[in-house]
Amino acid sequence: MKANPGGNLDPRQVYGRDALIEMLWDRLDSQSILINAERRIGKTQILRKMLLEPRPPWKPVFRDLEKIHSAQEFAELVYDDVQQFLGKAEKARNFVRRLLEENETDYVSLKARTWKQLLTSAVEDLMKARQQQRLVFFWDEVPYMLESIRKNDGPKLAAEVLDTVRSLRIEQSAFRVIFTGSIGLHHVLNRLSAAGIPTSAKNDMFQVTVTPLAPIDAERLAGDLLQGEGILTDVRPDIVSTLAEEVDYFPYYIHHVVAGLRIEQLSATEANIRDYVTRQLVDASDPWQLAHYRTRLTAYYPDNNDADKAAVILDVLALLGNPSDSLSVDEILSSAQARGAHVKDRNELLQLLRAMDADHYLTRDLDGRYHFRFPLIRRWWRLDRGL
Amino acid sequence: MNASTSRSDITPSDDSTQVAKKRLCITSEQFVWRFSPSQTDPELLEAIFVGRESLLQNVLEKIHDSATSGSTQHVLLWGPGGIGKSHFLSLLFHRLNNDKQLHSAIRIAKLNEDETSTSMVQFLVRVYRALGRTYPDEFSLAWLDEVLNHPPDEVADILTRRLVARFEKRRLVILVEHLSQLFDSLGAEGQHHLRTLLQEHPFACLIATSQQLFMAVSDRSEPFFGFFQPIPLRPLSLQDAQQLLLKIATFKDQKDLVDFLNTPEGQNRVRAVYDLAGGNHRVYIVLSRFLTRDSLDQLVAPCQRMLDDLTPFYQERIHSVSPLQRQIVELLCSEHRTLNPKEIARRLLLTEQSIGKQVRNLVEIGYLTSQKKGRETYYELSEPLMRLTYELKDSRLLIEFLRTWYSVNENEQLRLAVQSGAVQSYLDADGDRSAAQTPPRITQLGDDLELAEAQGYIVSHAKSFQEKAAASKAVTEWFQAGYYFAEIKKDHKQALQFYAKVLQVAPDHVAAKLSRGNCLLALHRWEEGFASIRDALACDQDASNQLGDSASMFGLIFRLSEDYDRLQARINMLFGVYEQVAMNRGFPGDLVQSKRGSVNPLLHLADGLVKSLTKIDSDRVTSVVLQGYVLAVEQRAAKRPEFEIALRLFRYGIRYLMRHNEADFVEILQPERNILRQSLGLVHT
Repeated sequence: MKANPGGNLDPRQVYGRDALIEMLWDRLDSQSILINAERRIGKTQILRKMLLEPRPPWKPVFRDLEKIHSAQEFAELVYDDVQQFLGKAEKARNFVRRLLEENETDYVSLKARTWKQLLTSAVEDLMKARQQQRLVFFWDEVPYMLESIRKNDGPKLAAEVLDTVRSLRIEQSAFRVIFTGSIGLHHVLNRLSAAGIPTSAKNDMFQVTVTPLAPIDAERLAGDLLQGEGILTDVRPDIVSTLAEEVDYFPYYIHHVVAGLRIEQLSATEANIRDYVTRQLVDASDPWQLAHYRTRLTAYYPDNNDADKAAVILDVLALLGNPSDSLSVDEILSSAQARGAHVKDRNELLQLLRAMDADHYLTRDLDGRYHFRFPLIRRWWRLDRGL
Repeated sequence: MNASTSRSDITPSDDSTQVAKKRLCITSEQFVWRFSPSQTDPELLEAIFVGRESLLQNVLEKIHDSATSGSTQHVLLWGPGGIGKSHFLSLLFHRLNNDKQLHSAIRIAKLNEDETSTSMVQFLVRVYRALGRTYPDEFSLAWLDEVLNHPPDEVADILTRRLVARFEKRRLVILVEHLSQLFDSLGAEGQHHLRTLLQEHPFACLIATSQQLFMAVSDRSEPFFGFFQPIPLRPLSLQDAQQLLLKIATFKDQKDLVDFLNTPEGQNRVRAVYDLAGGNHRVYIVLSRFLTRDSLDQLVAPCQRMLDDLTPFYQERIHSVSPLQRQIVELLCSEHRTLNPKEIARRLLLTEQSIGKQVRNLVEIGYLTSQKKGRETYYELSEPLMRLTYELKDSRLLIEFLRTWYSVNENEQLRLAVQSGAVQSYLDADGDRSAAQTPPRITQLGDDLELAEAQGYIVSHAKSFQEKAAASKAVTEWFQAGYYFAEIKKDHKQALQFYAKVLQVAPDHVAAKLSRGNCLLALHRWEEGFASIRDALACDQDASNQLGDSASMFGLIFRLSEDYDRLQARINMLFGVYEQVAMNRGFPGDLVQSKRGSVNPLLHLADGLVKSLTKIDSDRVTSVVLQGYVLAVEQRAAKRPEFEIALRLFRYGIRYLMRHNEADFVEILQPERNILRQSLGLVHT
C-alpha cells in the first residue's frame, strides 16, 4: 500500500470507517443524512467506499456538486441520474403516465419545465418505480453549490432549493440523500437567515460528524503505509503510535507524513517523524495548507470584528500549558479582554464560541470548558502566531 | 546519485552514457535542449539525469500503485524555473512508455506544454489528442476531428463518455506542465468541472508541474485544495551539479575536462559557479555548452557566455510580470544589496503600501526571497543570475572573486603536508627500518613520531621534528620545519633559521621567501618582511600563483600595529607590494587575466582581506580599533574594483565582530552572504 495523500483510495485502503459506514447504512433505512467534517478528514473516501461496496438493496449515485451553479442545472442533473437509474422501460411507462394523467404531449418539454417541477418529477418517478434496488444520492459539496446559487441567483432561490429537497424528503418518505460539505452547511444557512430567509432545511436529517480515526486504526494505517513504502520492514508500536499521535490521527496527514519520509529518504524514527511534522508546520510554503485556519476567520465571522476576537480566543487557548488544558467561558472572556479583544459581553462570546465549535476550531469537554479540537492545529497556531 | 558520494568518487555511469552516445547522431552543440527538455532525446536525458533517481522511482511506484489497485494518485512537482521539472517529466514519460509491466494497464497523455486550454472541453480535446499521438490505433484523431463538428457542450459529453468507457479497466496518466497556467486559463468553472470529472470517474492520475504551490491547490476554499501530493524539486546539491557537468563532459568526449573536473581545483571551479547559480539545473546545462578544460579553469568567459545565453530567458521572465513589479525587479537587479519596501518605495517614488503588496506577490511567484531583520523585511532576487544578466560588469567581478575564493589554498595544503606528510614520511622511514642503510637516528625519530601520532601529540615533539629535518637535509623538510615552527609553535625566530637554510640551498624558493616575510612581519620587522614578500613575488615570473598567505599578512598588520598611523602605513606598504606585482604581471587595473590561468594578485589580496576576519580576535580589541581597520583599508582600496566585493564583505564582517549579530547580513546579497558566513566560520564549507 502506497502513501496517497489527496488521491482517491481503493476502498480496501479506507481504514477505521467500517463501523461508521455500517451505522450510516442502518440510518438510511429511516432518514437522510448530513455529514459534517473538517476538510481532509476523509468524508469523500467514506462515500466512495459506500459507493463501491453498497449494502443491498441500495444503489448509490455519487455526485460532486461543485460544478453546479444554478437550480436548473441541479434539477437536470438529478433528473438525468434518476432516468439513467430507471432505465428505458420505466422511462417509457412514466411518459405514458404523464400523457394520460397530465395531458403532457411533448416529452422534450419535460425538460423545459421549471427546476422545481423537474426535481419533483424526478423524485416522483423514482418513488413510483418498480425497482429491486433503492437509489440513494450521495451529494458531495452541497454547501458550495448553494453558495453558487446564492451568489448567482440570490438567497431566496438557494433557500428554495434546500426547502424543495426537504419537502420531497418528507413527502416521499422513501427518498434518501446523503449531503456532505467541506464548508459547513450552517454557514450557508446563517447567510440565508441573515438575508431574512430562514430555512429549516436540515432538521429532518440525521447529522453525523466524522472524526479522526481511532488510535488503533490510525496506527494500523501508519504501519501498513510505512511497510508499503519500504520504510519499515517490521511494524514497531512506538513508531506507529508516534506517527499517528503527531497528526491527531488524521488519515490524510498520516499519508502525508509517510509520503514525506519516503521523498526525503528518512528512516522512521520518532525523532524524524516529530521533526518532519514540525517542519511542515513552520514551512513558509505551508505544504499542509494550515494557514487556512487563520485566513478563513474573516470569511466565517465577517461581522463586528468577530474574526479578530476569534483569533484572540485561539491565542488564549493556545497559550495554555498542555493541549488538553481548557478554560471556562468566563476565563476565556477575561483573558480575551485582557489581550485587547473587544468582546461586549458573555453572550456575545458564547455565540462566537459555539460557532467556533461548529467550525471545528474548538471543542468542549464534559464540564463545558473549551480547548482546541485538534492539538495539531493548536500547535500550528502557536507557531504561526509566534506565541 | 548518492548524495554522500565523496568527491574522489564522482564518476558518471558509463553504461547509460555509452549506449546513448552510440545511438545519437546529434552535434554536441545541439544535443541538450536547455529550455525544452521534452525535445531532447530521452536516452540522453537518462544519461545525464542526476540527483533525483529516488524521487523518480517514488513517482513511478505511485503510478504503478494507481494502475494495479483501485486508488488514483495525483502529484504536483513544484520548483522555480530551471530546476529540472521538464527534464523530470520527460524522463518519467519515457520510463512509463517503456515499462512492459504497465503497458496494458495505463495509457499516457503527455500534454504539449505550449498549448493553452480555456475551457474544460478544450482540455478534454487536448488529452484526447495527446493520446492520439501516442496510441494512434486506439484513439483516432480522425474520429476526434468529426466530434469537433458538434456544439462544445456535446463535445464535452461525448469525450467524457468516451474516456470513461475507454478507461473503465485502465488508468489514464495525464502529464501536464505549468499547472498554474492551465488552471488560470480554465478559470473557476473549468476547474470545478475538471475536479468533478476526476472525483466522479476516478480513472485518471494527474502528474503535473508548477513553479510554486499556487492558490488553486493550496487555498482551502479552492476545488483542488489538497488534491495533489506536492513534491518540491529541490535544487541540485553541489555534488549533483558536479556530477551533471561530468556526465555531459563525458558524453561529449571531453577527456581533459573530465580529468580536470575530477581534481580538487576543477571541483572548486564548480563550487564557485554553484555559489552563483545555486542548484538550478538549467544553468549547468547552459554552462556545459561553453566548457572546456581551459575555460573552466579561467571561469569568467564561460560564465559570461552562460549569462549571455540566459539573458533572453530572464528578460522574458522580467517582462512577464506587471509594470510595477517589473520596476521593482529591475531596481533590485541594479543594486548590490537587499532593499526593504521603504527604500524601494523611495527610489520608485511610490507609496510603501503599494510596494508592500507587490513584493509579497513577487515572493509568492518565486521572483524574490525575503529575510527579516527585526521588524524590517529585506528583499533580493531569488536567482542571483537574473541580477548578473542585468549587470554584466558585476558578474565579472563576482565570478573572479568566487574563483579566487574557492581556489585550492596553498597554505592549507602546506598545513596538511606538515601535519600528515611528515608523519607519513616517518612511518615510511619506519617501514624501512630493517633496511641496512637506514640511519639509526631516522629509525628512532620514526618511533617517536609514531607514538606521538598514536597519542595525538604531534605538537609536543618539536624537537624530533627539528632533528629529523637536520638529519635528512632535504629542502622540503627544512621548509616544512620552518612552517611548523612558524604556524604551529609560533616560534618565528626558529622558523627563520629553517627558512634561511632553505634559501641557502634554493635561493629562489618562493614559498620560503613568502613564509620568511610573514615571520619577519610577526617579529615587527616590517620593512624586511615586506621586502621578502616583494622579492618572492618578483621571482615568480612563471605565474605559478604562489602569492603568499595574504590573510595572515592582514591578520598580523591588524594585530600588531600599535596605532592607526602605523596601521595605515603598513596597509599601504602591503598594497604597494601587490600593486607592483600586479603591474609587473600585466594586470593594469581591470580584471583581465594577462596570462592563461594566472591570478590577479590584487584579487588574491582582496581574498585575503576577507579571510583575515577569522584572524581578528574581537574580544581583545575595541570597536574603535575594529572600525580603524575598515578605515585604513578603505583609504587604500576604495577605488580599486578588485576590492569592491571584498571591502563590502569586510565591512559587514567587522560589524559582525563588533555586534555578533547575523541579522545585519540580510542587507547583502547571496552569494556574498554565503562567502561572509564562510569567512567568519559560521557555516561549514
